[in-house]
Amino acid sequence: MARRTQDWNFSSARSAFIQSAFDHALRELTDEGFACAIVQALDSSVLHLYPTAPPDLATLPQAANTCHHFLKLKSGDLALVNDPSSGSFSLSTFTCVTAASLPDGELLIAARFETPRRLGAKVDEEGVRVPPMPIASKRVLNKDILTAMSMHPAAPQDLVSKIENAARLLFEAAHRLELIARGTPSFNANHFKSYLDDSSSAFESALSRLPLGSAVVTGRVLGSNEQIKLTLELSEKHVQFDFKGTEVSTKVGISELTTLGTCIWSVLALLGEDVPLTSSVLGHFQVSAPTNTLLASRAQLSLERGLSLVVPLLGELVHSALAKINPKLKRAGTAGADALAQLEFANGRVAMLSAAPGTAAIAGESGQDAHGAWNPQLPPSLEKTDSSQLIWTAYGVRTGSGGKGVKRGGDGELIACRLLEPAKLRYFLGRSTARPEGASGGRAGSPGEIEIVRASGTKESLTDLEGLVDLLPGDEVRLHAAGGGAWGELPEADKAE
Amino acid sequence: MAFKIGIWMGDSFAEIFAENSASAGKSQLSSRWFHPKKSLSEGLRETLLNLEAGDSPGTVIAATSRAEMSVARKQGTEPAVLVTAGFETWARFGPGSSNGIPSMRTQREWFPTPPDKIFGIEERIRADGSVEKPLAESELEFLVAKLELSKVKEIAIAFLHANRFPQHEQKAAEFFRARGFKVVCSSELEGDFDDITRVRRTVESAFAEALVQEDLAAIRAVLPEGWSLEFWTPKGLSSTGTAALVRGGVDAALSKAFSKHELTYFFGLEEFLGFKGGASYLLPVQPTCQIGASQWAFPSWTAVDRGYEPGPMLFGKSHQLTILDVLFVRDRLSGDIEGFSDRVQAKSSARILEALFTLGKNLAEPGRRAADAKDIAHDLESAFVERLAMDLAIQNARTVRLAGPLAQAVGALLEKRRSDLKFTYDPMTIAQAAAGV
Repeated sequence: MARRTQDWNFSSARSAFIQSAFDHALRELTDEGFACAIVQALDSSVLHLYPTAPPDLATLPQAANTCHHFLKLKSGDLALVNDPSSGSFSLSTFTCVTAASLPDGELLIAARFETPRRLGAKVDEEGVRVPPMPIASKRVLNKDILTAMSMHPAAPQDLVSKIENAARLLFEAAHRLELIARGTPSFNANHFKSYLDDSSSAFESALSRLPLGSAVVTGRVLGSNEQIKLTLELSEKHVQFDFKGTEVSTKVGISELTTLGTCIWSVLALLGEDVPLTSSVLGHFQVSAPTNTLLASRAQLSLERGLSLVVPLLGELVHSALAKINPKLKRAGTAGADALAQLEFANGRVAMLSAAPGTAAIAGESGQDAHGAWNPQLPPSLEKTDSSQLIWTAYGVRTGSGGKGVKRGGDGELIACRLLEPAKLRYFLGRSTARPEGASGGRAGSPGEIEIVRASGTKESLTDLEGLVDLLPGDEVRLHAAGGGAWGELPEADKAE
Repeated sequence: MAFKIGIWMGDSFAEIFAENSASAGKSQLSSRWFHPKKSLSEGLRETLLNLEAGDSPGTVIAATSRAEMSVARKQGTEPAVLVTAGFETWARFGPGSSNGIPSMRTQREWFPTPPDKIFGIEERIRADGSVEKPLAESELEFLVAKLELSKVKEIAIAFLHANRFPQHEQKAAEFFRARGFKVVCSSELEGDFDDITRVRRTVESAFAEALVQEDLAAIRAVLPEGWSLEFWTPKGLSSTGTAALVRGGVDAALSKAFSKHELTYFFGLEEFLGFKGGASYLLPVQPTCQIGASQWAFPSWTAVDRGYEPGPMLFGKSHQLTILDVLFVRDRLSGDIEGFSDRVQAKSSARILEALFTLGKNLAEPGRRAADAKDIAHDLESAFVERLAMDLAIQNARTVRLAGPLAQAVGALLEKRRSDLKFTYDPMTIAQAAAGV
């Protein structure tokens, strides 16, 4: 193959091309909603990240590296993992990892997908735990292992088909990277070094648009009332998060990697710059969270609680600290967490309802409807087909739940179903029960709630953090997510309207 | 039929290809022009005159990109949308447009109709196709007055699970059609879509319908008696031409024309397409995508397709750089490209270089000299060629067919970049592919 060297006057022009090649190779995965990472096996450097949730920024490369560390992945191999101690953050999110064989070393490709979440008191009630496990060799899936895994009572129903889909797309992405490396001289390990340097410069240039300084903020976790204390320091080239003073918790917590990912995500989201996400960029962030505090938890606590209660609070605190350094960065509040309701039927089947909150308004821009605060591509679930146990009666936005203001808060999501069989409703509204505050005179958004319309017509409203309710055929469950806070006070005339 | 005419209606350009196989030797005519300069009727009338068909019957086969472009350019008529009650706002949901970068400003895909034109109708079909709640026809009567008041003429109907039980949609469509409304039903769409795509496609088709019909009326107005009119659809030719049916017709016509080749690149004036194994795909760079600042200290392509209104800078009006402008200042567009070259303003070169210099200046680190505009143009062209080379590597073909009005210009760059591959040139135009000649 002709490998004519392309002349470039600017190394950043070549770096932009390298990034476009990564994007192109992963296109089918990202189009289908997978979070993705590309990592150099040789030195564990992150070349490309496509996160769909804050923890992905730190946990996804870790999952790729852990799988490779234990399984020495080669082209055509596939590993599966969802164990939080091996780089996952929830038992409902699974990561598949494969390798692309390039002339100068292997690239690891990780793709993460979600399955319906599951509520439980402890982590092991929230799903099946999978440590790094080899599930394919020479592009052939080990059906016996997959079948055994799918037999586990806590395994998601469509796990095997989701793994098969991920495997197909990952092998295709790996093959594409191998072909690009063969046919494009600009795409090799030597140029990856300058690509990483250029990405660092690009980030520093973006960071320079934020004011320098430091701020201390505190917040308390809903329900447990435990404190998070953050000292944030923004210097020319680094963002430091120091959580000294945060309480040790036995009730709720998240891992250090989830903390790191959430902190980075929060700064990048506020920065609003389209920066390349590489290890050189991630290296500008430093997090210090004392061991066993609720931000570096080692206890076997519920991961879903941590994601619902701690992650959004942490994001809000980072934004509060940045707004303290520069008041122009102030924005309204958001629940930042889905409202969750789990229907448990007598035959052991479980149906999960989740509703995304509206986002906060910022100066000059209204919040977005049913979008989640932390997941920019959160699509409405389209898998809500009717069954012999329930029929969906409404799905859309909860109109008017976003706060009113010059810029309104985003409306939360609304999802409703009527039961055809008796069931227990286990719900976790979590941070959705907090009233997302407005900013600069804007009104607060409505908190999340569950409305039960009994077959008899009587209505009940559930607004607790969590609970358990018996339901009968004909009862309707209406899950309302929280709206986002608004920005700016409305003029008197508009208020009346 | 001895006379056959293929027509392509693009966003800004139109093409006609005509063949007379009655004469001893076949005669063929071909033309391409910039839309605003000549109407479709005028172009067809000229062709018919030159073809000297007289009273002989013939066929016109049309392939149009106008349905897709109407949506892409947001130029159409907002339809009323009827959905199952309880799912009104769901209709507007779509995948968030994210590039994987954490942001507080990600937007949902544009929806062609505002929330106040979406109406919930009492009816419900279950996922298995059984009827949970029959269609409340009394509601339709009530709606008519509302729609007439808001001067709505197009209606999109997309009930939940209508693909499994279309009767509710059919009944509602019949009701509104009888009252003079133009109706598009989701169950009438061809293809297997997920629920949300089915809703969006239906609404988009209703949105584009008026524009597509305007084009078809222009053709019918000059069609001689005894001539037939057919349309390209993804499933082949059809005698019915609606926005819902003709969408994807251009790709289908070209796919058929290039089906014998291992890999074909079509460098059109409006789109760069790849064809392999009977399927088509968009190439990683498009001709009128805007070039702008990027996160890298170098300009890059954005996802914004500027189209030809006001056009690339080389047409003399626009201030937005595109890859066509870069190719122009690199002297790659010197050949005579019908319908295009006569629009090019030679003096645009200085403006384009100035715009490149300004881009470079904005991207230069403080205190450093701005890069030379010609160096930037060079690297932008390199990046363009590399992206195509990347696709060539992925497709892993040994022979590549190059077609389309810009094939010669881009082909020269590709031949230099991949001298190990065999490139051949095909004069096929979209209108010729539509005619099937």
